[in-house]
Amino acid sequence: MNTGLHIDSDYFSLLEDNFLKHIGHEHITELCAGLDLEREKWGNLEIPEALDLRIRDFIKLEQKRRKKKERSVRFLRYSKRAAVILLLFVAANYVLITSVEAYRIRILNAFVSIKDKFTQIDFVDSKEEITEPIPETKTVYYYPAYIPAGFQLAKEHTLHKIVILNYQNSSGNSIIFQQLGLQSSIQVDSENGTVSRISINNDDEAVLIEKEDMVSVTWKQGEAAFFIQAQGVERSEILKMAESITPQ
Amino acid sequence: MLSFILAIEDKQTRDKLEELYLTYNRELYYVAYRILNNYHDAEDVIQNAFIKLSRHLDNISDVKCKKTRAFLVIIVRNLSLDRCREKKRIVPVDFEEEQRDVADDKISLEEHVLHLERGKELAKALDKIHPAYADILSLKYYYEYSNKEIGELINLSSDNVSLKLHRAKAALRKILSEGGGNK
Repeated sequence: MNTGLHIDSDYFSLLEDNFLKHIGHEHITELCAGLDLEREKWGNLEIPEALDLRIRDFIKLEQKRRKKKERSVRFLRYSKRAAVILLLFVAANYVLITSVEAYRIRILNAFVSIKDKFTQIDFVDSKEEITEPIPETKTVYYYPAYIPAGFQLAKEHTLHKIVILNYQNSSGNSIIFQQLGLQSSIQVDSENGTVSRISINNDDEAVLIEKEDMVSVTWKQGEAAFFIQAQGVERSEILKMAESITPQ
Repeated sequence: MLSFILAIEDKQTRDKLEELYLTYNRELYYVAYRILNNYHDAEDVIQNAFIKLSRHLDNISDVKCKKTRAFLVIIVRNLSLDRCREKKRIVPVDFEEEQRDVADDKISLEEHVLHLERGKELAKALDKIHPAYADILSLKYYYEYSNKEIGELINLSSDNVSLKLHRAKAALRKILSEGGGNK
């Protein structure tokens, strides 16, 4: 019968493999025993230095190769996990943004608030159309009569209707005084600072900005706009300086 | 030898390959030199053996055991014989021609058990006739490497490995049929 023959063949094959495995085992036992008998011949054998060096260099290379392989396997494993986590995070945010309004508003506000870091001061309403040219008049230049103690004029720059004065003291603090035309607009860093309206020389819309130890004040007077900014100077001193400006 | 040990940076976590070399370098060098009678050739063979060994380190669990020791000796011995062949330029016989010579006799279970009892003598007898046959049988059936892996270890093609296995089995059958190995 075919089935019986097939089983006999497999069984014989198994017997043969088992027998040969046993032969293999006996062979290696004899091999080791033979070497042990000759131990006096190789026991104190001097290995050439050159061989030691060759094997040492090879082992070092092999260790580097193995470490590199382990690193790339580890990196692959962790990057897969990171990719899965990132995917879950993006999916969760997508679901939240599309389905929860409060969450969506919060996310959008986070992007919008990045722009809200300065205060823009315009001296002329930009919505008004200027239909007639502004008549040329002689510019009157103003200079502060009061300078806080310790400060001296370091630089002066005048161009058309613009005057820039730079006062400095021995500690390195400076006060910038600017006179500008009314068509100008100023942008002042007010992020995390306080912005308030004060009155200076009949201008009730003067803008005072205080941020850490920086003080700036902006106001209109006559046909000009003025701006003083200082660091490390008391507010009262700056306001006194602002109120002291007189035409030259 | 001392310079080699000192050169190893991390003694606490000595690599398996280093451990194998430090444990068996003398006897392996002796085995290679005994066949080749040349220091440089022996060095080349040892280095080649360790290069091949590095690809099978996962199969070696215990460094200081008979199985590992014999494995290293078998590789070095066969690589040395291969080196000898290269130098003498011996051409291998055609595989198919050799296949025809061997009969395939089946044995009974009782005979199989008897043969197992004589295993030690049979292995000795085979080793005397042709050590390479005994080695290749061990690599195939005891260490359980494939023909391709055996070929990579001892620098033979897998066809050549099949041929040698065939011859080894034939030689063993001949010993059995002649009652060889009996003391």
